[in-house]
Amino acid sequence: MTHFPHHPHARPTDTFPVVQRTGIHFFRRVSRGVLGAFEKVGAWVYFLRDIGRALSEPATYVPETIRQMKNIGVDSLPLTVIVAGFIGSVIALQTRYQMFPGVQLSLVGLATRQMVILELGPLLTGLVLAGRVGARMTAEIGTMRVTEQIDALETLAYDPVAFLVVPRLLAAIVMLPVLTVFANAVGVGSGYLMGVYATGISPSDFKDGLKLGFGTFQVVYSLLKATMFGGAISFFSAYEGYIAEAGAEGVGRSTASAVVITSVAILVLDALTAVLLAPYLQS
Amino acid sequence: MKRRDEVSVGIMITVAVVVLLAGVLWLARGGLSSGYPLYTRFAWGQNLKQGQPVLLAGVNIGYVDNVELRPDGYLDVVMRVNNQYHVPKTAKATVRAVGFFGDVAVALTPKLGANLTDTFAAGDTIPAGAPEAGVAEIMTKADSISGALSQITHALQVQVVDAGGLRDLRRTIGATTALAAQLQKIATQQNDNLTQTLTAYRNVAQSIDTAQIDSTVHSFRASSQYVSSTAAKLDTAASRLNELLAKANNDRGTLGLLLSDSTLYRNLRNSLASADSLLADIKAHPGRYISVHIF
Repeated sequence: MTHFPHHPHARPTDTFPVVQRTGIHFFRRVSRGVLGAFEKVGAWVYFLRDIGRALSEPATYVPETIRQMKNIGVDSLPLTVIVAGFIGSVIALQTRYQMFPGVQLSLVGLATRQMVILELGPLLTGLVLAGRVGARMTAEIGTMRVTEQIDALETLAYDPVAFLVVPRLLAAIVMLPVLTVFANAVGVGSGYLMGVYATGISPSDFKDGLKLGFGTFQVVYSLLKATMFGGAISFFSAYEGYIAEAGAEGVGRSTASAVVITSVAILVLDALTAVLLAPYLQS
Repeated sequence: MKRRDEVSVGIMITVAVVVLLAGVLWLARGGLSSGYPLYTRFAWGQNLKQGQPVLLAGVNIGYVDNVELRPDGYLDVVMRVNNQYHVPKTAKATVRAVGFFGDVAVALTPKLGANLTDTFAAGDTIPAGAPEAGVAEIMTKADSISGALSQITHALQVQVVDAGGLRDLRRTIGATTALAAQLQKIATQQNDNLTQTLTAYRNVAQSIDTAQIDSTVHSFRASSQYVSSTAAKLDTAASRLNELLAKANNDRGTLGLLLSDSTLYRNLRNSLASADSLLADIKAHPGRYISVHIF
């Protein structure tokens, strides 16, 4: 039987009838979840503040940033290109075979360009890197946390955020758009190859569709999303690693949590950018 | 190791920037070639924007470089035409819809049959032609047609369905079907009658004696010949009578003189007058002329 020292007249939950007891447990769990969410948001804000503070120490994070750019960007290029190549070719193939008779064949080029550049290029690059780079980031930082290397850095008056988090954040913010450029180019190129050589669309039809209604802002929109996705991946992954609990299980839990949170964050940001910026794509 | 990282990152970013710039330039302008400028002017509301294609007789020869909105209701359009293409001076510029997605292009259409070698120079202004009907106009027309069809459908609903016209039509079709059945019946009866008539006619035709008809025709032919010879004789007699009458009319013959000369008539009249006076005198004085002597 539980006693509440701050509330001496409080009645223990176990003494309630089962229906009331279930309701009390339910509301207690909900309130705990809501409070936990707010606590998480507050912790993210504090972490963001720490990052902002760490930006004033470029001597600490700049050398490490290049190495992270190589890890995040150059090492992820093959995977990104493979994913984008398949996506572009599948879009062209599906669009061609879903078209009813009478529709201009240039629509295949237009659909491939719009889907790859506006949506799937940055989104799939972000999701792929959330798994590959984000998980690795969380595991690295989490392991450093549980092996007390971060504590050692603090002891040496080294800002662990400036040394571990900021380089990854900057590298992801820079390299995600770079990878998205390659993803877009490869996606459109593979769509062209699939459309022309597998479905019989003439090259001029596909090119006409590619150029139809193109605006430079479409590319800006794509790269803007990639930048936000890069920031989200590195921020949430680094945070989850930074707060990892002791033990291998804690690192594993943080890694899984980082991948889930990052993926959801990418989708939410994607929806937000679509709502806020899609009207400008028409001009 | 660290230097190698920097090199790989640098190469990747450089390649990405090149790919980005080349891709955007190709999609927006068709390539790096700057071309030469040509100008034109359209009324507001053409849905024109930078990067849209410029077509010469349907062939892509450049792109729209800039569109400036003028306060007087016109758009100043700067076109960038690839150097290998030249636009004939007879060309007119129009805004043409491209596809179903609202995109447009500037179409330069030269006058066929005219001199095509005289071309616009860089910086010239191409006159705007009469605007073509775009997707919006076609959709407006389609909308008005759809409205009219809707009204007709509503009127048909009211007049034909609601007012019982459809029921009447169905009844009329039923009556027509019955009438057609009656007509069919009558036609069958008439067909039987006609068959009977033809049979009777065939029997009558078979009962006719062809030999008798042949002799009748032979007799008719002989009578006809006889009538022909009689007519020929009559013709001869008529011609002789005509000759006789001609001689009689002629003053030179006896009969002609008798008929036409008045001298005989006068002599005869004088003779008759003398005879008349003689008879009167005889009556008055018989002794003068008659002397009776007995012994």
